[in-house]
Amino acid sequence: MSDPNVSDTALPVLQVKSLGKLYSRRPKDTRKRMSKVARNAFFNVGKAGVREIHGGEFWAVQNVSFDLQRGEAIGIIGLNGSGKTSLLRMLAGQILPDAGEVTIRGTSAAMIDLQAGFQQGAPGRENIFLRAAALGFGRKETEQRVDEVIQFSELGTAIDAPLESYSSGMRMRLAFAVMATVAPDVLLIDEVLAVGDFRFRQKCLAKMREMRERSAFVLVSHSMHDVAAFCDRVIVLHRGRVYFEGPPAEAIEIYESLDQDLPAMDVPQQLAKAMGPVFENPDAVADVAHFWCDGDGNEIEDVKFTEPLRLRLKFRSLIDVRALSIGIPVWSINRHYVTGLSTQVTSDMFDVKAGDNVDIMMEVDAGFLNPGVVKSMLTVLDGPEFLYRKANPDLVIRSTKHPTWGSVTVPHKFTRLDKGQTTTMSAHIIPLNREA
Amino acid sequence: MNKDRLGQQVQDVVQVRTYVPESRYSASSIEAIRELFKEVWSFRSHIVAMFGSEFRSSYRGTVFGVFWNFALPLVPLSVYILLVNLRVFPAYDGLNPAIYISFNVTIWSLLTGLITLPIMVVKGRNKESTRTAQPISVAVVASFARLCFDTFVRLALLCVLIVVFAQWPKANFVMLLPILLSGMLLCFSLGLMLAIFNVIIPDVERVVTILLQYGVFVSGVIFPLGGLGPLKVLESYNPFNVYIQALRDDVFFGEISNHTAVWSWAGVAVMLFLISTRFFYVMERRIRGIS
Repeated sequence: MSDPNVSDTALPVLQVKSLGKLYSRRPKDTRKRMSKVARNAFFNVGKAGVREIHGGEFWAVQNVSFDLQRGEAIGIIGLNGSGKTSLLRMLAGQILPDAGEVTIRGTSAAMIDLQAGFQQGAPGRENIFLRAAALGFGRKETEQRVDEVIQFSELGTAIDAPLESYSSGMRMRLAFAVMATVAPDVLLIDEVLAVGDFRFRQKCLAKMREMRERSAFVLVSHSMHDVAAFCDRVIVLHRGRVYFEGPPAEAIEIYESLDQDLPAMDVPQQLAKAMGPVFENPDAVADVAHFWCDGDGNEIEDVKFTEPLRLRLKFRSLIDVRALSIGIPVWSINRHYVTGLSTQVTSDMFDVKAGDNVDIMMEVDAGFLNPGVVKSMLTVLDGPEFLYRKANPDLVIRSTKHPTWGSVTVPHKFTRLDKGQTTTMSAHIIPLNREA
Repeated sequence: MNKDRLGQQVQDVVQVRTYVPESRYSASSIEAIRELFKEVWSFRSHIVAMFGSEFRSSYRGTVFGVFWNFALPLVPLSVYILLVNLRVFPAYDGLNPAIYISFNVTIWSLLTGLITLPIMVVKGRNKESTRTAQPISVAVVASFARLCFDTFVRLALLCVLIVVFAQWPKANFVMLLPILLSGMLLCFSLGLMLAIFNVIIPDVERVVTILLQYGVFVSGVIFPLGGLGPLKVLESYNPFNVYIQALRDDVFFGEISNHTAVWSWAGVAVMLFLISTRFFYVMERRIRGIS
């Protein structure tokens, strides 16, 4: 027989299985369905749940499933009306699902609406007791924590002013302070943090990090920065369905593609659009091959951050090229134009005659492009005239222990000026080949 | 781990809650009553806080302050007492008209409050209830705290009138409590049921308002039904009249005259209570958000 204590820690603290919620665009349809439900409930006949939908009814949330372990944080992002708040309300037990199942092991608290559970006419101090009582805390227990709540909320003397005189930011402070003090097993947080000022939001996030040891979080937010900084994984909801579930960075990219009202799952298309058109002049160049390679010129698909990048270009020229120019614009996976590598910058000059089999290697010192997928194009021009413009194969730059921020690392140094020290500490890596 | 019929799993180590479309659907009336009671009990501090807060907010900002909380429940009584002083009403059943009307209006307000308050609270808080896990039953019970307060204020005035007019009661408390409770049970059950129906069919509240406005004249509140000719038949069929008359008889004369009607309605009250609590329990989370 299994020990219940063991199973408690092994099982997810929150389990969501095929969850669905039905709404209607017309009140008439809602009333019709509810009349049927009421009749069945009154006479204790029939079954709950939805078998078929009618008229203006639609699934606001459909077939959503995920598990959440203690210490984990999951973000829910999506456009307005995508079903985020309905999902959160079902998780909080505020509304019943019409399909699926939610299981919560332990206590839970929701910060979905800043008005709920508050009395507008009562002072903030009294509302601490009301809010704590709604979360299952008795007056004596709350009294022991009330100073802590007031201190965290930073409301000072305003705590004795009526709640109706509070700004939305002040309400958020109060609501969050109560919830943070209660420290439930599962915390469900809607967009409410957004109303706080930047500094207090950071304080909330820091507190949530502190609570992560024993709590699990479901965070709904339009702040991609908060989601990326706090969540282990993210669900993108679109039209009530799970559109994507995975690492925050990818989820945010997909969300942003939705936000720009682009068609579904079109990130590669957007990238292709950002990278511009492809072109080849078969009368000018032939047998073109270009790929990322190692020091020996052999094709590679990935490289360490601490290794130099090399791109090899081979082609047969069918014309005399008077002013050969090679360009390699580089994008990150999220369509940001990172940099350009060009013979125009290095002033490299190549003399190309018709019939020449050209073989060129471009090299970038290690440690400039940060870990991630490198998207790039190869452009070959004769003066202003394009001869060739096509995408290079993707190159994955693998991370090392060296810390990086953003898309690129630029060489930089810090110098002690106060002591006249001439010794500088380079924050940039010194690649092996350059040391040699 | 145990899983009870309400779809809630209970474990010694960790509390496990499960929300499914069938939640509460298979609950029996007894289970529903037990769960509703547990719900209300677990939110008892919130009920106290809500009542205190609403009590204070009802006079906050006024010049006379808490005076209004005592004065306003007496307004309906004072109107009738004024009419009595103008000698509009004769003495009925050997009682001073002021005492007769004050007693009847107090009971009438209590019983009708148990019907109208759930309707108002469920309607008023239904939208808000989608934003909080706090059950609507808690808000309903919190509203009854105010009803109880108002009733005590009216009873205090009644006591003053009894002393002033030296109309000493001969209450039979053994009977009084069951009669009062069964009347309250009947009205509370009706209130719960109508509150749910009102969310689905909003006309219910209006119909109830109209019925109660007429009802005050055909429930023996202001004058006995015996003097209303053909409406005399309502003496036994109108539960308000039955309960008001029985309670009045019990308090002032120590015995009741309409045993059959009272205990028949008491039976109906128990039946209705069993049905309506289950109905409310099953429907409460399903009607949330319907406006």
